[in-house]
Amino acid sequence: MSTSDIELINLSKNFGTSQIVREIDLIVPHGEFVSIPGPSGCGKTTTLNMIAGFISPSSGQIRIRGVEQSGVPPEKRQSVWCFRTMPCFLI
Amino acid sequence: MNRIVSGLFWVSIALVMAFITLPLIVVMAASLSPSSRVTLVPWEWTVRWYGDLMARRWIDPFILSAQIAILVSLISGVLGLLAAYVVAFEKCPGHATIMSFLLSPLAVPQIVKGVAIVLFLSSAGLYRWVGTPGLVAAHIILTLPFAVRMIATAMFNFDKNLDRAGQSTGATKAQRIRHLLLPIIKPGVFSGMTFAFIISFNNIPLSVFLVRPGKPPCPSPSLTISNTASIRCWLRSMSPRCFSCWR
Repeated sequence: MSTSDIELINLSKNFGTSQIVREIDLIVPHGEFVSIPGPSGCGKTTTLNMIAGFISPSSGQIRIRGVEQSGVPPEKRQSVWCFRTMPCFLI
Repeated sequence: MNRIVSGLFWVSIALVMAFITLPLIVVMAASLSPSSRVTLVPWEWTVRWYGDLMARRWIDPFILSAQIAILVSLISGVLGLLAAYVVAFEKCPGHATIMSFLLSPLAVPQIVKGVAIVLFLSSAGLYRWVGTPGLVAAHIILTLPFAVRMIATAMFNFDKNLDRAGQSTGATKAQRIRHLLLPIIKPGVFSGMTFAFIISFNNIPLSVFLVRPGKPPCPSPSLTISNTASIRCWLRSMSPRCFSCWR
């Protein structure tokens, strides 16, 4: 059992030629409450969408509770995505 | 100043309503006259024509029309729902082209559609289809654009984020359609089916080509059986529906 809930490893996302998310590394330890602030258009929503599985990353890995998530559809992931306020938390 | 403007607004609304509904009052008054001609102020009153309406020659076409219209609105509703789902919700490749193809029957006048369908049925050796099956098929072609348009509009307005939230909480596609999409677009589906029912029920220009002798649906005997057909046509042209056609 991994001690981290979410691990983002070298995560990037490109839409065409523009790079929205560049090489994010993030480890959220178990039970930690994390918020991602930032100006609009800086990639917060894209990152959360990648964690929830609506967008597949261009490169890098997402691990939820130690399990690699590439190819796992949103309904099979242990995450809940809410719109407008857009928190992404584990269930 | 504001009061004058709002007064003018209400007066204009009242005039428009009167313009739309007064012809109906003329028809209602004329229906109470004992003569078979149209008289605006009858010299005596009778409900004889309403009794005549209970005759088989009116009841049978009415039932046939109702059956066709119910069948057509159900089939149009289901087909429209499926088409709108792929075109407006899933946005499949070429969805704009498919949408204009689905709406294309609107561009052809109904009489032309009727002639085309009859020619097609006879040249394809499907002459036995003339009658109820042909009417149902033709009315589906006629009403599908309306059903698709109404349902697609409801689906365009559907918030995709609701679908995402449902998906992220583990709902399968079938569950999301059943519990999210369908309840939200229900009004659109019902209005599309209502449109289909009304258009199918009082359609003449297309239906006259597909009617079998002796088995006419409701609107066509009301034009043809009467010996005062021209007056009926005149009454029809007075009806508000036709005003909207002329626009």
